Amino acid sequence: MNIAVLLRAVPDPVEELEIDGVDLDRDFLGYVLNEFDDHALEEGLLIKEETGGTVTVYALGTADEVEQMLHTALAKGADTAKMLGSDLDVVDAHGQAETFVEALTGGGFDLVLSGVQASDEIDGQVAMLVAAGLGFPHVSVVVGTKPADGSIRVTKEYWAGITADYDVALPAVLGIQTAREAPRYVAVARIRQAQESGNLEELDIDQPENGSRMTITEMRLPEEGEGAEMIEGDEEAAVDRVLELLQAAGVR
Amino acid sequence: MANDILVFVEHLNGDITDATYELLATARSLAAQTGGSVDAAVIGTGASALADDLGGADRILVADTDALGAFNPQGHAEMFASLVETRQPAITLVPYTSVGMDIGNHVAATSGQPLVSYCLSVDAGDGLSGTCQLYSGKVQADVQVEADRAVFAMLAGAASADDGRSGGAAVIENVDTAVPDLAITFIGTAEPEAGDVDITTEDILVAIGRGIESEDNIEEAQALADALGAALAASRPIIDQGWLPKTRQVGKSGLSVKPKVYLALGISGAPEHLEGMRDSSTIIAVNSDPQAPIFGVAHYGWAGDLFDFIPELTDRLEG
Amino acid sequence: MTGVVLATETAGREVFLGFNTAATILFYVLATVSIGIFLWGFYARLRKYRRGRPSARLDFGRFVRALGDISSNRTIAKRNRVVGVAHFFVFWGFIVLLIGTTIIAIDEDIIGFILDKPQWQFWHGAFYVGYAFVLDIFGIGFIVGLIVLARVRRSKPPRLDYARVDDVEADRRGYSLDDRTFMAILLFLGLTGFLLEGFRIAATDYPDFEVVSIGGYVVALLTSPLGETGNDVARLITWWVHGLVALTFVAYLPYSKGMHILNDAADLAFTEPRSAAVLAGVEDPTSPGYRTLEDFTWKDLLDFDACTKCGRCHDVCPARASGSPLSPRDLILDLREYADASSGIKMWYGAGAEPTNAGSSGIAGSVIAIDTLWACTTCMACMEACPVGIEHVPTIVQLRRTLVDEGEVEPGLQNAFQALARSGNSFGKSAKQRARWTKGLDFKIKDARSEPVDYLWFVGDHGSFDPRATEVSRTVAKLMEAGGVDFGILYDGERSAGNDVRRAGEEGLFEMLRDSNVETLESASYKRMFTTDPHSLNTLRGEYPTDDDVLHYTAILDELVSSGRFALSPLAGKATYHDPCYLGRYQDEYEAPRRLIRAVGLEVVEMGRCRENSYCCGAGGGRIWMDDSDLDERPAENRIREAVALGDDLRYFVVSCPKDMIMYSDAVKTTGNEEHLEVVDIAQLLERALEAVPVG
Repeated sequence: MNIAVLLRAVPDPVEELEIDGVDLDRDFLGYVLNEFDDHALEEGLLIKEETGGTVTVYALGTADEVEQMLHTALAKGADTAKMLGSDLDVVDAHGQAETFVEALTGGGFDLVLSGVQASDEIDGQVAMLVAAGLGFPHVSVVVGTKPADGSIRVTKEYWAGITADYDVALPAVLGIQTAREAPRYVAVARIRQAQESGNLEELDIDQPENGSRMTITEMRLPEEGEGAEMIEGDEEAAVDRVLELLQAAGVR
Repeated sequence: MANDILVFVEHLNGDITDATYELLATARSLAAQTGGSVDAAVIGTGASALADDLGGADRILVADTDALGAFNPQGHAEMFASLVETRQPAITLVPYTSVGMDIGNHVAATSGQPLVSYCLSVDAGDGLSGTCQLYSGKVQADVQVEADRAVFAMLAGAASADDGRSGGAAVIENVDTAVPDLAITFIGTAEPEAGDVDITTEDILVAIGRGIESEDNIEEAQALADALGAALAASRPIIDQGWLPKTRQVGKSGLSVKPKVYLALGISGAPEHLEGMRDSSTIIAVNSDPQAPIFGVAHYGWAGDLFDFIPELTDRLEG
Repeated sequence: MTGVVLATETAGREVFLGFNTAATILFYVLATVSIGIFLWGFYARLRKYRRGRPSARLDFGRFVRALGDISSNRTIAKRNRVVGVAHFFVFWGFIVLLIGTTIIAIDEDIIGFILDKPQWQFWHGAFYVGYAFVLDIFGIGFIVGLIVLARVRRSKPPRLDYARVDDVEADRRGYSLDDRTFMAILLFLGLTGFLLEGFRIAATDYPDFEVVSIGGYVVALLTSPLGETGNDVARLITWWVHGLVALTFVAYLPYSKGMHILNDAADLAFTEPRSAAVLAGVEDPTSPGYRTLEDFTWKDLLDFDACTKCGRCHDVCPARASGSPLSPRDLILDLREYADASSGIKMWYGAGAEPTNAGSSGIAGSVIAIDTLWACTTCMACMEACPVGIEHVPTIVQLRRTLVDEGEVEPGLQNAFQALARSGNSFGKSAKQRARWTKGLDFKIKDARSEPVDYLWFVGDHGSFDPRATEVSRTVAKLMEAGGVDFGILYDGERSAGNDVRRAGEEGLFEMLRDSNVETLESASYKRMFTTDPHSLNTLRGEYPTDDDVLHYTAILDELVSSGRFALSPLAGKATYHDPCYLGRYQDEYEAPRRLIRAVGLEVVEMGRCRENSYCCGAGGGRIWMDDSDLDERPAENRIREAVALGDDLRYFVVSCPKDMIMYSDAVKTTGNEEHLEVVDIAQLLERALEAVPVG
């Protein structure tokens, strides 16, 4: 099975974010691979190990973090890595999807995998938008797959552990939430070796034309208190307040 | 019509989800702004029977067909997309859930409408706008839609589900149920294995720590959990003592949980524990030590004796 | 007893007394066969060691030190006086008896027979008398020593229980059989030697000069009832029995525990006690660690054979004691069996277990189980306890390297590695938050990257991020400030020093962290470095290319206190001090912390396991990141119980390592001792005792 995995760099969730106008202050922001994409890559590698074929990873941009991400994917077992665009500005999910679709078209892939979501997808989920662009069927929130001939059995999680199985005819796009196994570890030395493998290709892609057709008019950090709001008084007062809080949380 | 609000009805095993009712509540307030009607589209086998539960809508579009027994990411999406195509609503609301994700993106992409995701609130006062949550909730953004129509994927809690339940008799309209050949075939659903409680999927967790002091007191905590309809979880020392099974451990070597309410009782808050629960929506901590680190991550805290607190809360819940 | 002055000029004896030529020839034929079998076995072992990679271990200083260790049996007597002394007697008895036999061979075979110069022979007269005396004395010591050792074995100490600690089925009866056989042969040779001597003295009519053969003479007096002929017959029979057993012994040596006589001397002569503190790097990053037998060095292969199964490493290992599937002894024995099986070497009793085949991914995971390898805390207690210089820890790290290369990593460890690769700390926190702990100090610590300082403080991960340890960091900062020390930190420029990353087997990540730190250090201006973290201390001192003078903070505090910079008002009570593995065993620093505890007025009560023999908290070698919930008893809990047993009046469990603070403040709670025993850092004690500001 020939598999494409779409990887995205997102702001490192451990970083404290700061706002600059209607965007993040990106000057000193660190980027990491979107954690769901890491699972998508793992699932892709597992499928490849079962069925044979290839895994090609795609990512947008040429930042060091992107390069690092792709080298890591190669070290883990991806066959080829493609870095899209040299001068791409930060683009929204629609723009990312358009770019990926352009790169994937004609690639002859049986399966396109990406993380089910990313923390910056304010205008939709890239994996699903790519499916629409390619005209492939799609399933999101996939927590496991079992490849067959010409199709793939996928497990989609609804909520609270309730899952549903589907047979999906290929080619298809899957938004992966969790791989069957935890994403594998790859030693730093192997990533360094992948850097020298020359399996990373840079493709020039035009800035996408169609955006999300929405504008961010304001961005802010949600108000946050310093630690807990302490309840004063005896246990009766405490219980009064806790009952209110349970109500407010919608569980009472 | 061009000022209507169309709501996707999410249902499983004959039950309409709370997320749907929240959408209906949101739709109702939007309809007041646009002057349109609230339309609810319910798709799948047995859809007609669900119409009774959709009083919050003005009009219920029923696509009851055996061809779409259970939810089908492709079938439901295409059916809903064709309704959006024929009805041309100003605002289409889908829940930001596993099901809604398949629907919303497909509809937005095929109808060429903008999609506002991670949405906390929608406003139709001055064009279409919304407030979204980004970067795992660390940032909020206000967006203005540059189109007359849009799809909004709403996060849970954007409105009260109860508000969406109320309402009078709605008009029921059966719609064309022709289903094209599908590339996706539904096989079946599976519930999590019975056995011990899965604390990662519980809405409320009562978590106990060293402050519970002895195994005998576990019973008291369990009684509180029962009264709350919650599951009992614990920090590592409790598991180590063998007072609760490993499946109940929250933290580094246990499970990460994100319940709606995390009630931490007698947990001082070692970093290994905090790691596993800090993303809970509401954290309420009770600890005798006002300096306990747990109060650093809790949203609400009470510094006092948990053996005063537990029976008081249990009594009030039961009484 | 006939006279005070012995008539020595006629002293001497005939080797082949009463033998005809055929018997003498038979003996030499048998001796040749025996030596041939010995040489074949010896060669097989040399061939096995030659499979290993080179290792530069030929060093004069090392040989000199080894000579002392070997001749004194110091490493055996360490913490086990009885066994040490008994072994000393057996060791020297064996050597002297061997020299005695060699002297006869030189005199009889070389000078007398080969060179045919009877006039040059010297084994008679005064020399003979001295010879007979010395050999008898050492012979007696030899037998007494063996009897003591046999009695120790009979008392069945737990360290000599060969039961495996993992679930692997193994028939180890061969091991015990080998031990007993070895000891029995030695004892038999010693006893028959005296019998033979007695019979000979009695059969040759008690020559006066033979009274110096104390043991033999006593036997001769006892056997006098046999008469001259009876004694002569007994002598001849005993001669052959003794001789044949001796020849069998020679042949048996390289196929048995007897080989330790040669191997252990060699292993001590080549061992490097600092090989765990300064680990060897990875030569070929495409194939790191020990995957096949050929990846081990010859010294590693020698290590496997050197093991006498004395069980001291097994005894002191915190992983073994806490119920992990790791026993350093079993690790070495498993590797030995694998190396033997794949080199065609068979012990006389047969292999203890079926030889395992190394899997496609290497020895780690097949010969040695993965869980076994991750269980090690790299505390180095095994190496310190080992009397023969086996280097367990570097071998474990080498095997871990292959696991990491395969991506076979314990989940907790994987999280830590990923966090470290991403932001330079194992907590997964943003690097920018590294110096956040300094908030709450009422002064600003200098940024050593932008202003010159006397001391650069390398804070380390735990001291920067873990709330229990940051509290201590703030205390240290206040003390340094109060003591007038000009110091600074690297703020967000510091990364984990990588000590534990390296020991967990992630060499590439270690290099990445080290290179990043070195680059930052180069941009800073400082005279010396100090660190609050013994683990960082170890790697900064020995594994960084910088030649900085790096101190542990207790050394600086000790200096400040002894120079009178602090006016201390004494605290009262008893305290025990826990030597951190990486400060004590790894860096040989024991005194400054103790001086500081005494300086604040506390009485230091030592735990049984202290100093070099300190017991690990369980956090080292990456263990702090791994799941420890499966352990029967965490090492830290075991340690707290040891401290509690010192008495009810023990108030303080004093630590000087951030990981210790974390592990023990947890363990004191889980063992239910937090009411009466306080886990406290030395700096915190000092802060409490500090009344006035510095004199200077």
